[in-house]
Amino acid sequence: MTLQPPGVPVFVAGTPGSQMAATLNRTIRDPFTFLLDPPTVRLRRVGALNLQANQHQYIPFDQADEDSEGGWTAPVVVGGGANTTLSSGSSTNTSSIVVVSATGMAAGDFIRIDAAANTEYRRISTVAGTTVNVSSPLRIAHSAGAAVVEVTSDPARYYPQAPGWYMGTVTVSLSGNGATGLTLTPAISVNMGSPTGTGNGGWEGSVTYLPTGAATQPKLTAGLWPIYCNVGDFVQADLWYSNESLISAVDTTAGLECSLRLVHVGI
Amino acid sequence: MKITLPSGKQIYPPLDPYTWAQQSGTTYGWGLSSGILEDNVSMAVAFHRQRPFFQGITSVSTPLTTASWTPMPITEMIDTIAGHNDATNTSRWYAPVTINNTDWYLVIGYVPMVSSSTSAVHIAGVRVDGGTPLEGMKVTAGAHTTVTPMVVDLVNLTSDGTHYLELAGWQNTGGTINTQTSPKTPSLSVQWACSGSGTAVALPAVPHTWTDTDQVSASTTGGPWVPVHTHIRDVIRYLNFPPVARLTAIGSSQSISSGTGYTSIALTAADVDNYNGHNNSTNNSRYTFPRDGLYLVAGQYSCDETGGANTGYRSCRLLHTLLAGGSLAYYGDSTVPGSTTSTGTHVSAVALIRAVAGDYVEVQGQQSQGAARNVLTAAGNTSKMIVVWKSR
Repeated sequence: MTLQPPGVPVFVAGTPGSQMAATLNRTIRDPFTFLLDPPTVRLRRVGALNLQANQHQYIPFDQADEDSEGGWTAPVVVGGGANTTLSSGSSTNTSSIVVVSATGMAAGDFIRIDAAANTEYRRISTVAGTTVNVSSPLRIAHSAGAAVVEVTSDPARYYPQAPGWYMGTVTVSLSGNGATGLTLTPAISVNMGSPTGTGNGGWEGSVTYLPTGAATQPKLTAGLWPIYCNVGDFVQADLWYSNESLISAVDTTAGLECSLRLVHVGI
Repeated sequence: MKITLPSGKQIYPPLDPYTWAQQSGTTYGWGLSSGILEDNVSMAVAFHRQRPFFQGITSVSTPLTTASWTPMPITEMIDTIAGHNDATNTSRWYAPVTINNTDWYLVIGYVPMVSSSTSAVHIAGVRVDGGTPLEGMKVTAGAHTTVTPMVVDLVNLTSDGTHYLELAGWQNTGGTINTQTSPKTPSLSVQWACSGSGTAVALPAVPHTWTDTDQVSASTTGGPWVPVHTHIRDVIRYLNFPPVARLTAIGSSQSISSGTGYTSIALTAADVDNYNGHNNSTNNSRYTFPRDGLYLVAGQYSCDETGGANTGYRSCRLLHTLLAGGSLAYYGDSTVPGSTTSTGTHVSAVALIRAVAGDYVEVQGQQSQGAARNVLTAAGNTSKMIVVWKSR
């Protein structure tokens, strides 16, 4: 049963004693439980992750500091599922890959492309022969021979388990030497779009011009937004940065990691 | 904003819950009647499941005259208490009438601007009743002709339906620039956070599971007794009046050295600190979490600039120090300063922090000018920390 925010409890005079305990649990315990302990999630990217400048890219998280309702899932390889490689290299910003074998692949499946810091996760939109179209453009280029494996989930996605408003923060960071004019933008997206209808990749937050010096100078920015989600929606953190520098990775230093954090704040 | 309860009774929320009379001797106690439970529990749930909330965006490009605060005209997307009017005074959101004299509201705003000035600054701020703006980020622009400052603040509004807040932008490029409309646009979000007054109570335990053998008391515990003061009254009191704080560096005198790492900002004034997590004098950079829970914390480091050759970068972070030992950092913005501005730089950090009572959090700043820089201390133009309890 979908986790639901509480309705307004109705107290009926003359409730039989035999029903009193169950009635009070339904009208007092359960609403107070939700209001005091609303759904929360706090996700981080702690492992290396390569990036591409001038590209909107959703961050695949790999650390859940908390996830009270289980809306985020660490991906697991599907036993007996699709397991192949790229037959040719894929370019950045493409939504189409060509694999050696599409056996076991179907629309709706999640796949993991490549490995380690180059890993990307996508949902299959369509399969036509050995051409696989995916849910959003790839973040970076991948070489021929890169692994393509079916997994259980996309760790860039958080699925709210209760409908309503969520207060969300996104922090995005870069690692490396800066450059004059380098800018970085965080965004929060619902179903790969902006909940307000404005913004590329999501509802964009603050835009600042980053330090121009060495990697020891922190390069990050953050945003805070209230967003509305229905059950079945998914939330992602988007990162975009300009191409003045040679930066090609997020910062994984403790405290500077990319993050997505949400708490339910009402209906 | 009146709430209509299931019986049809209308009230102004959030009502202070009843204190039950305990039967003793010839003193009659109160029963657990449907009417009393509706006044307390139904009211509390009805209000807190849908606290006053507003969200709107700007659909038109707004010119910003240099060195002048300009309110943002807003088109509402959601307005649960009809505090905004899409036709008249469109920048304003009016606080609802509640049972309280005042309430606190969490305000979030963005003002994207079309600017490539690397010498000037651009600010997003919140104004109450057209007064002194509460400044958010104050940052320079660059080659991409876009800059978006954010403001996060906790604002106190009188609850009589006549007081308002608005999002405003400011810049000092020397000319007129416009706000963006695509792909970014100004936006304002407001949500009720806390009553202006109330009773601080212990963190409610996990709500009681009622059984057939329970007996209801006002405060008596032990045996079969379930004290409603603990399990109903104080839960409602806590929801009405959770720990919140707005701390600033107004009146402080602090200089931040260059290139020496992050320095904790002295917060010498408190607009609200309802659970006494802060001391303006002793360890005044700290907010000590008074109750366990998940907190929204927003900090701002406000750095003075001399108007000469501003250089290096300015950065802000939150540092959470654990009672059990150790610390966790939550880094925020880092940016280059406006090269010749003398109005300062504000950078911010925001996070949802899980804490236990006794942990504390500080807002810290870092700058690399090559010389010391003072912390700004004027009303509305200063370092600050906002804290709002969100969850057990």
